[in-house]
Amino acid sequence: MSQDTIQRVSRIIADYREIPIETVEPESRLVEDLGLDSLGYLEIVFEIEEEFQVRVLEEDAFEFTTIGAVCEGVDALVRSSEQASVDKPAP
Amino acid sequence: MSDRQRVVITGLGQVSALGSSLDALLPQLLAGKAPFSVIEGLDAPGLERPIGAMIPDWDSRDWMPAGSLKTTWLVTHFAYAAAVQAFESAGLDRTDRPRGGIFLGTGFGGQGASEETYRSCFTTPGRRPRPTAIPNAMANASASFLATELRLTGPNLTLVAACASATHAIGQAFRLLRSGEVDVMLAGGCEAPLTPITMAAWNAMRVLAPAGADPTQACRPFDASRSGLVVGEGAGVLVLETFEHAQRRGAHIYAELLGYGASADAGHITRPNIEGVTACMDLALQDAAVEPERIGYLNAHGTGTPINDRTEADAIRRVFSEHSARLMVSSTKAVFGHTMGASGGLEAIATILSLNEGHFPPTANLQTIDAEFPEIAFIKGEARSEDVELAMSSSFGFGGNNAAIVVRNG
Repeated sequence: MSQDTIQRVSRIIADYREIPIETVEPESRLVEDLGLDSLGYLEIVFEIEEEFQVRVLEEDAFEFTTIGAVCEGVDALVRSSEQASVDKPAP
Repeated sequence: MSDRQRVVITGLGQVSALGSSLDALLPQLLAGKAPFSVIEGLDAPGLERPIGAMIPDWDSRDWMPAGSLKTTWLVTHFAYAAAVQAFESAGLDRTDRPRGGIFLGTGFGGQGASEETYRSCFTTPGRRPRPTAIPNAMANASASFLATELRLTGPNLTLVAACASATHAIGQAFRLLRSGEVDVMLAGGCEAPLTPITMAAWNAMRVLAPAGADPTQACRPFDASRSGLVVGEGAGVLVLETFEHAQRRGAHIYAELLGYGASADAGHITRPNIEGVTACMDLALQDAAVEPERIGYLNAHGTGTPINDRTEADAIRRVFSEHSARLMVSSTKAVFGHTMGASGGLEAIATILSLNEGHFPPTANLQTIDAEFPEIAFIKGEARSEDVELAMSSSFGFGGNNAAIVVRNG
């Protein structure tokens, strides 16, 4: 996962939970360590979609348990989104 | 009758244009100085120089639990700040978990949150509502949040009756306590109406007082020159409790709640009628088993609109007849602003503090009582000091919803 993704995802979580960004680490668990509930989780997914211009599928939305897993998921979505745009035939 | 529980008020909490504490409230009410000002930066279509009654130096972070700001909207922040104060002044803490619940009034709830969502989605292509759009905007969000934070698992209802919402909430909580079904209830109201579209919509109804040269003079209830209301924000929450429960835990008793009257005009959506307004006051007196002559002070609805004040003055005369010439009457909306669904809560608190101290606030800016009114002992100019045992607080809302309560000094 890229440092840029970790930084941006951590910022989203820190803003939402009103906590210092330093306390958000790749190993941090979303529920147990960061105190996210189901509504908070949806808000984070929403923010990530807006920030990275990606769409998290319904079936994937509750798959991520740690910040690291979220960032890997985001990187994968960004890659596939970039690939889709490369594959798109020129007009 | 005999098996009814007596109901007392053991906690008070408020946030309003007069600050965010109980201690500073009564002196400001007695001083009768309106704190209204122009709302800088409020882009309300069609409304030039909007004025309002804003909570001074408000910062939600001073009150809200960590991590809760993003899942709640401003009206809930006001309600929570008032509820925490009420809870503390009652000597309760959240580990007590008394057998009880919350009845909270609001006219608009999280309507301002919806305004923000609509603005964002309709003006920015591709923008979607946030997942918290509904939990922030739903009318019962504040009562729900209070229950969660204060651990009150009993009945939890949001009463929506426009500007009579909070008085109905207090009255309905009173009835539930009186039945013995619960021991403690948090009751009152909250409102955050100083948003662009809500303010513009009030302006469209032509009920807002023009800012004029001095916004503090804009709202003049019962004055011959009155020209409308000033919208205010805030929350007023009370702890109601059975006398038995309060006595058992040695709680301080601010007042006893003796009666509640509720009526509907069943007439026009916005124009009040004297029958409905009279009925709620009559019913409150009957419920309290109190003769009108025994009421010493009436905290009136007194919005400052020509039609409300005219109807109300006539209704006061009809309910209290000759006694109205001696009955002290004032409207504290001239200093709180019209806080809509919160107003009954704030005014109940104003009434109780006045009773406790024996000092009764004037109606700010009341100089020349409308000559068309019947004879009523409106307090104008200076506050009045008297020993009073019983008082009434009344509220009338759009929709023809009317409510009044009778309280006895504690």
